[in-house]
Amino acid sequence: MNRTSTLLIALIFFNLLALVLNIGLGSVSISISDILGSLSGSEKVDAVLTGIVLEFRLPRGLTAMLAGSALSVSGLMMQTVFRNPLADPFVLGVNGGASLGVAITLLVLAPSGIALTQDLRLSGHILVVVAASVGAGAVLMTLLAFARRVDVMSLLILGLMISYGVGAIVSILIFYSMADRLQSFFNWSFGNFSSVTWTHFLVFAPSVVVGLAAVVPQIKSLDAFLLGERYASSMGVNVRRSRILILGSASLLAGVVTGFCGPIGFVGIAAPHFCRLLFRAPSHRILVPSAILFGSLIALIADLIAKAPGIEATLPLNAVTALIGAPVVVAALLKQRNLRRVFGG
Amino acid sequence: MGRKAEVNVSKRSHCLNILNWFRMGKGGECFRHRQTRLKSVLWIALTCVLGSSTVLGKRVELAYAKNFSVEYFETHKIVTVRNMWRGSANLTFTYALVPRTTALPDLPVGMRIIRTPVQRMSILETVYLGHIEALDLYDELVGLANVSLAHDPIALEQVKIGYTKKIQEGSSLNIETLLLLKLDLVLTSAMGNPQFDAHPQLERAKQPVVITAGYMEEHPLGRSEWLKFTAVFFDKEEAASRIFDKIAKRYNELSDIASSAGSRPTVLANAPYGGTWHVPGGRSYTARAIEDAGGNYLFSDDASSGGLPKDFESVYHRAAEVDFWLHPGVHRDLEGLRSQDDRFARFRAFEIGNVYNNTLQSNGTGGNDIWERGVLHPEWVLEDLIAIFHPGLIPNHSFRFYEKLN
Repeated sequence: MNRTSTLLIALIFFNLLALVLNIGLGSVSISISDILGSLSGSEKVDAVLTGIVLEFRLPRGLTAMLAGSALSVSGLMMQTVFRNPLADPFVLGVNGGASLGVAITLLVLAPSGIALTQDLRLSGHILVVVAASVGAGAVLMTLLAFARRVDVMSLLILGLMISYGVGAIVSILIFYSMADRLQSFFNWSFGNFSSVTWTHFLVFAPSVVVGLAAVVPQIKSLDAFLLGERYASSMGVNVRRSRILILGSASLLAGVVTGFCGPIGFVGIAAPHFCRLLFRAPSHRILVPSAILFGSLIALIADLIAKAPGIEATLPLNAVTALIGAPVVVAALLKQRNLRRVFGG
Repeated sequence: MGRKAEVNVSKRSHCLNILNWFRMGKGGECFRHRQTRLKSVLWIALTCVLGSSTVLGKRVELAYAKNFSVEYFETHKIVTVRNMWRGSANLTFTYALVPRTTALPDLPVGMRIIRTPVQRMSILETVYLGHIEALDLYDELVGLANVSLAHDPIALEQVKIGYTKKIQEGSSLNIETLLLLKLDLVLTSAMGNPQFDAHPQLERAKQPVVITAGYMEEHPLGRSEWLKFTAVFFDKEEAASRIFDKIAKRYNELSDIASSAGSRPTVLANAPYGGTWHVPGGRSYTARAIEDAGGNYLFSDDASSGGLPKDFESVYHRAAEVDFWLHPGVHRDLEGLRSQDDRFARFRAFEIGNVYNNTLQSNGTGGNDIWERGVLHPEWVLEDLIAIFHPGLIPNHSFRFYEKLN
């Protein structure tokens, strides 16, 4: 077995280990036998513990895995298309759009909100999900409309400008809000995997899986993009169309995750770098699967730390991902030494 | 801090001078004064008995409220507020209330002065609307902040016709509107956070702002007794005292009824948002109200008086078999509650339909009477709670603030 296969299998193994740890640890520790008992519906396990495993820990762990993979692959695609090691899944303003949607929901609609949510029969989390997705989608549509006409560098700057503009509107909404409303908005912006229940999961999981599956046919184009757009088109890649497809699917993946879990940073930047470092091969045929596995692993580890097992408190997810992600990126860069070469410079 | 009231006598001072007591035999002077001397003795005795108060009005006796005190002097009243926010330690705010009709007495430089009785008042939180209703201070209410969160119908009507001006929306304070109102009094509370507090700006603008610490009281009757605080600014101490005595009596009666109940059902409160469930701490106002109503609050072993952030999972672990669930967010029906998170249906209280919210008096724009008259009348809230936990103890009760989620 060559090195690549060994590493991939090791990643799969660590993923499973992390998942088991996530299910076992938290506000109360659950032993492996109890976990297996809960999963198999055994009567011997206390009903409350079974409830915790099945309704809280399992969906949370699976959500973390899917979200981590989605963000990681999305980040990988962004870094390739923009040939920029700093690109992350949200570079096209997806996060900004989602924030705006959520800010409008929580800070403007919610104060007059009792009537609203009751009439629409959408309340709490689902409304936030819809709002975030609509916001992200709107920004994405705007940008993709420009994607036909400008080049990649301009697109990046456009995305940044849209982010700033949207951020300014969110600031104004925050300025006019009461302290307790702000708390719920900030809670959302810390990101968390625990609000995805099985009902949401039925929408979340297929979306992510479909998004990831859509990346597979793009692998050849991705490899070509890394060498520059001119080289890519000389290799027969339809640059305009590919760019839209790749950026669109990357932003969609990012948007789905932000919609269900709130904005989660760093996984999208750190995981691709680490994969490149580990596998030493720039081919996306290997990078994409490894990004999926490694993104999932980072998310599981971050969630485990965020749960702060042993103390009855939690840490905000975004802070933990940053604390893990930043050293990973630094390590990868120090090892790499010549990043320009990797990005076809 | 001002001069204590001195018995102002001219002739009698002659006799109070202790040396003169030894000069009794000299001339007829002190013989005449012998009668006044007797009166002096009686006067001194009376003053000693009554202490240094009762010169301007009735003394404010406080039984439950710990965060303010009032001292009466001949020319003014001194009000002291303490414990204004978490972490305020020994910081106090002092105000001198001087009647309009008298000249300013000798007060320390920088002492905050309010002229009484107040004729133009503005409130920055809606909780004072309960006091305004009880003491009929609607005419004096010329400014109201956060109108969308207010419930009191008369106050809202006054806003509609323009008699009471709207002030401040959100966290930005509109100083200019306040200045134009030419106020005698601005009532507000503070959190000790310069970002959100209004009083630093108001003091800089030389507005007569008074900080209240009612929300920091731990006992529901302590919060209610702040009616007397507001009353002091309007010379309505007597009315406030009468009203509060009735409230306290009824509250204690109900408390006794509740403690006669046999078993105590377990109770959970609040609902999570974004993965964090802020449950009331073991010494919080809500915990206190639940215990007084004969319930067993699940987190009563905690020692904090604020909210405890917990994750949904750990609350579920402790509360899966709970008997009653109160205030689950803003929901008024079970379907709405379940649609927020279908795991809520796993709590036993949800399964047997024992979920209640204090939204009966919600007016749809964010106002709710429980935060206005409900704070002044904790006995009404207590009655609702006892009727929830022990319906047999209060037959034929119609709910004032709480409704059952169906």
